[in-house]
Amino acid sequence: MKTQSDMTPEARLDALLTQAQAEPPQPDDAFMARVLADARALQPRLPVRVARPARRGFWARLAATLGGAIAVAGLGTAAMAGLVIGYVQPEPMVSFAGSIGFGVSESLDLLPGFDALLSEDILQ
Amino acid sequence: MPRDDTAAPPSDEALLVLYANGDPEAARVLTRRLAPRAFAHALRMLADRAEAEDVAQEALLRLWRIAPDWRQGEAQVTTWLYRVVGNLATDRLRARKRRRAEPLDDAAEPASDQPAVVQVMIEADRMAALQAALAELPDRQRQAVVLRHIEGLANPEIATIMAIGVEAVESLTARGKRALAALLAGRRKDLGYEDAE
Repeated sequence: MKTQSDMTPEARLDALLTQAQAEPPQPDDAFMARVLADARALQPRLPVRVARPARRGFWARLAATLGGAIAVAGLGTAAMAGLVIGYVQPEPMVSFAGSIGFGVSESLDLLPGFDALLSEDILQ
Repeated sequence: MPRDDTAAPPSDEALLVLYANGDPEAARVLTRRLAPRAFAHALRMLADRAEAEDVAQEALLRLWRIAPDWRQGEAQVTTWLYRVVGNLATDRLRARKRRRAEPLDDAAEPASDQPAVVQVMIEADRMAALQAALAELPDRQRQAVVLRHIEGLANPEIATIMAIGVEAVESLTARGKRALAALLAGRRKDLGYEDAE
């Protein structure tokens, strides 16, 4: 086996270089920690998606208050039917109302005049 | 990054893409993989541990910054890193030489205020002796010898790193090795080798 003293300068250099390749200098832990801290500090952050509740409009909130879309539809239908019946006064409805005792009057005096209150019978 | 022990380790480039996408594990793996190489190369170039750490950290900082814009398939990550480390180290060496008022591409002569190769070898630290001898080479020769014979890179990759032709790499490594051998051989008697013959 050749010793260092037996080797040519070139062979000794090759041996040294091979040893250097096999034994790279190792960085210390503090350096590695600094590099990792840099990496983490500069790493791009993906935008975090937060699920935001959809903003509810006026009609949606009203429908929810009244009991949902079906309830609103029913209410609307009833209101429309009432309007139609009130304005049109269809003959079958009038005769039906008369047959069950609800005669249709031409006018209804809900606020009587003051004349009756001023009669002498009441004043005396 | 999910762990899969059966799969081949991801390439540096794949890890860089994961890093740019915010994968924290990719940051850790890339640091563990690249930081020691950057540090070792900087130390071979500069022969100063503190300066080598600064250079390696700066080179990796630049890598983290360009990660989102990394163009895949254009260059290997390690090639890019060696190039940046080499450039930063060369800048520092030039600054040193300016401070010492020495010419830039000086011949391979020992610097007066550096530990002499003889003294280092008497201390029986062959690796330190090699490092000291490397420090006496001109910068480009040192870089080429380190990349070829210590980092174990192929000449075309070294040519890319140093931005020169392959023939120039061959010339630099050949001259560098001859100079190293001469530097080490010139001190054989100081090691006591002459007595053993």
